[in-house]
Amino acid sequence: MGLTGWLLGKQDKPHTGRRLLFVGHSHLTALELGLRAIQARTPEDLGDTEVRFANLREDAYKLSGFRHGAPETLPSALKSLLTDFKPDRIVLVLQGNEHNVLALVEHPQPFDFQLPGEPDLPLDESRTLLTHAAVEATLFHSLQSSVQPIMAAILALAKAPVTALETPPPLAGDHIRAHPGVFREKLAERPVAPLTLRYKMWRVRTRQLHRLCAALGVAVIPVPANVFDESGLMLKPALHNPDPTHGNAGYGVLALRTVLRFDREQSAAGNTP
Amino acid sequence: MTERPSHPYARLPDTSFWGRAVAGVVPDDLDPVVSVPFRISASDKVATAGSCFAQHIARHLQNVGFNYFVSEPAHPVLPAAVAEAFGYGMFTARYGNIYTARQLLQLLQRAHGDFVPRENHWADADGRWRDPFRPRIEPEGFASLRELELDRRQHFDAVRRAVRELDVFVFTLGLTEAWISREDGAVYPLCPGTAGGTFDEQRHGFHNFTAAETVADLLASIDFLRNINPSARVILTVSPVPLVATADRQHVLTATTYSKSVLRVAAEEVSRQREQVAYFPSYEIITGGYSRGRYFAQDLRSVTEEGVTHVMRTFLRHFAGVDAASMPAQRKQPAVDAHVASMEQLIQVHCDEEVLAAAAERRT
Repeated sequence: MGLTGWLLGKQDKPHTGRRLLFVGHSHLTALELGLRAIQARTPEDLGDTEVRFANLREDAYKLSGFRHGAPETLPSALKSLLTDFKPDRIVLVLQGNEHNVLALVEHPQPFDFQLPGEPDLPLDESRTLLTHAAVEATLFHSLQSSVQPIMAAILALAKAPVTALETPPPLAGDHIRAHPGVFREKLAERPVAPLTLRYKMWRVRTRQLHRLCAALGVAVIPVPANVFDESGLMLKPALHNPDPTHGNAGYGVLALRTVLRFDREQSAAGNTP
Repeated sequence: MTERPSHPYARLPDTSFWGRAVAGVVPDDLDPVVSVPFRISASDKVATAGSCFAQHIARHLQNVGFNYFVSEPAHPVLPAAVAEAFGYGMFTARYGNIYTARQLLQLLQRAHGDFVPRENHWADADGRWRDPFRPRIEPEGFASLRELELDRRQHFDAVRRAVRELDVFVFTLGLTEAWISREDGAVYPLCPGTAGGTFDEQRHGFHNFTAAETVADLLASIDFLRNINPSARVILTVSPVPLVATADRQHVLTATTYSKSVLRVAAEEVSRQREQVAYFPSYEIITGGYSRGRYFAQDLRSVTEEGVTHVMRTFLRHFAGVDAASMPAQRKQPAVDAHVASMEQLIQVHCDEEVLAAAAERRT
């Protein structure tokens, strides 16, 4: 039984607290595991908030018949959840590895770029220089096809405020090499891209998510500052999932607490975004 | 015994007579090229530069399978739409439109360290930076002066490589009117203040190049090129696109006639003064009265695709010895980078596995 079903069993008594529905892809898993950890160890964090997850990579929620511009083609299970669960807030954690496609593993033509606002980050002038605007446009182009259609469809059906959550910053190079997963063969041919480049790409992807969401009227919740290590460039090693890109349950706990706090603040302030 | 012709015109071919070569020809079949000094083989690296009409030439050369030479390609991670928006592939290198012969000469000099303009960058009010010599190459400007300078360094590397390696250089002359620096004569492709920078009468002046100046600049450009690449062959064309506006004190129509006349004369003179330099009459094919203006769009400026096709059909017939109609269209599909494509697949599998692993954990 999936986590969604596991939570459905708790519907016997009427729920009077807040209801949060998370919809997303693989980065949602850390939050699901984080919820279990909170329920087991610090249930007071959750209070009377009920949380559900619709992981679009699980069979029931897969977007196999989804057509861009046609919200009615979202999976039935998701549409039912949007209607029957009556969420007070929908939190989207859609996709989130667009930057890793381009710069998890070093490209055969290594590149680098300057990140505005963070001029102290090193720039390797021996690589092909891309302009920041070209990288921005590339990741925005990617988000327009990977995230925007799903977000727009959910917005069309949602009766509650829709919010997006940033996805986790990069993981340590040593960790990626130690847990290469499906990238094992790729990493035998090519090195892991430098951390500074991976951080820059994550940062640009995140800023483009904000840009996309701003255009759609969706608020974005940043990942909490306490998930970064002391360099400020990557996820704390203790929060790494044993794979190259995802956060673990510990990360999920911190991210979920951030969302809960955001929701309470917004709810208390009477804000709907 | 046949009679000897009584005068020189009697021995001339049909192409010498308006009635037989223009008025009496089906418009689609009009071919104003009599001969060309060289051919282009499929392996020759063909480079292009010039005004906006040159973009059509570049596009068609790629589509029909010429070895179109791009020395400054977009990085493979940039999708085709982004690469196009950022001026990649429009010409051989990312120099944007080059309207005047002086601008071409100065590009060659700048890329080889022979000229460093005093006004070498513009700061926009929003904190972004413009390259005065290709102000639209970054649609929103560069993020920093350092980024501009590093990008320009890469660009100049690509220009030098193009000069060294090209076999054929196709240059389309566009304008005689230009805005120049009063301090050092640097020529701007666009008037300062129109696409970056600030117009300052003390520093910026208008200049309408003469035929003699244009001839001198073209000769100097070709000599510069051949000093590095002696076997380079050159094809000169004149853009048929009228001026969008004139800064001269005359009607834009007469200003256009002046500008195109100067360019046409210059192209002719230079092709007569240097070996292996051809003039190709794209200007005549588009603007000739025989077409009754049908190669211009509603705005009477833009050249229609039908017109461009006529130009390129004629170009290919003479320079490649092929009938374009018989050549399979080779419009390139946007190239998908192999590394990015494989990473996309791996990321999909990776993310699916993450969800499956979590599901398995929940079951235990």
